[in-house]
Amino acid sequence: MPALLIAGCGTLHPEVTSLSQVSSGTVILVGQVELVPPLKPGEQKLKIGTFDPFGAADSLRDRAVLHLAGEPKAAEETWEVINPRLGETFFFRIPKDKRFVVMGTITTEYVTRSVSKRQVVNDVSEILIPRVAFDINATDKAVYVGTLRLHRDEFNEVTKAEILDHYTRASVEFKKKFGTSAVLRKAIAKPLK
Amino acid sequence: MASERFFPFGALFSVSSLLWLTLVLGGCAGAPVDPKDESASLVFGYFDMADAPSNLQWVSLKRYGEKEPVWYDLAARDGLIFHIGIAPGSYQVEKFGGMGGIPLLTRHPYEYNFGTRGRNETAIRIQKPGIYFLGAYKYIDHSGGLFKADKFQMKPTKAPSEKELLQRLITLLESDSELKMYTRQIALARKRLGEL
Repeated sequence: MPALLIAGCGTLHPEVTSLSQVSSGTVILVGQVELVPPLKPGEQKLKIGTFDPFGAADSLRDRAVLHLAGEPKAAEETWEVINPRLGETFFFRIPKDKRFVVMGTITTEYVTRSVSKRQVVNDVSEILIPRVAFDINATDKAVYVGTLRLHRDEFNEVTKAEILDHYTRASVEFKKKFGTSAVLRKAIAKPLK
Repeated sequence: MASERFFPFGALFSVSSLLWLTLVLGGCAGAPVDPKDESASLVFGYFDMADAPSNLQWVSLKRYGEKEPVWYDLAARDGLIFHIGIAPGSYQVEKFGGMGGIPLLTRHPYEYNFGTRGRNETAIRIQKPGIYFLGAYKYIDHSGGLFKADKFQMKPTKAPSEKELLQRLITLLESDSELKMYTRQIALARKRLGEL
């Protein structure tokens, strides 16, 4: 993921801090991704390339990567992503038509190693996140989609996924960031089969 | 689906009988397995690499859920993979590999990821020491064509059966001068064979 985004082959949608950053075709997506148990300090092994001047590893560290799509197609990378920090409320600006998370991952290992003078390989291990669908209306400025709580076993298999309603808490954070007149509509995400 | 990797450099791995015994007899971090260690489990499985670009020479079994991961190297003999001294814990095959290419011309090592997105089909939890079967799998090629990386799949297969593999394993253990001392593991294999 980091390499493709750096090469300009994908879109990392930004987090926003002001309603003025939201145009008519976009919406602020508010929610959270939690991992239970959480990542331990040092658990993620991220060594992207021998030299990482753009901080690609930071785009993965303590973060999930959610691939968005405009239709509920098969699980695959779309390279149109948001990368919410785990355990924190996120506020990403996304196109209103990208309402499906068709694939999601939390990277536990991304290590580039040399195997010859001209070739490197990447050792990659990931936690797969279940797919979800958002309910976004044409008139929405901001939508609260819930907390996606992922329970994992020792193999990093997600054994249970819950979508929880923490609207009250998220609403307080939203109003603090965007002002008391800003409207946050609650539309809890649904699992996508 | 797992992915395949290619190492275009000279032969790095050569399996001598000494290396093979080191793999089989080496416990965690390579220490020899004590035949009297009653916490040691016998783990075995089978990989059919007939359609793979390489043979099978090594299999890496990873222990999960620890502060730092631990790996065991399973030996491979004609597809049969095994280790006589696995400590309790949660395990699955992480990687495996061998040599491929044209001898003397393009021979080089191959390394494969079995599956590193959560639990794969080889996952086992050893809570009580005993004998554990990882399953039998066949390498299925999924060529990517000219512009995409090749991928492969390790598809569970019913042949050879667990029973056939146990018979092969018992014969191997009993006929090997270094392994026949592991009478406890051989007894575990015979007991399981009797149940099938």
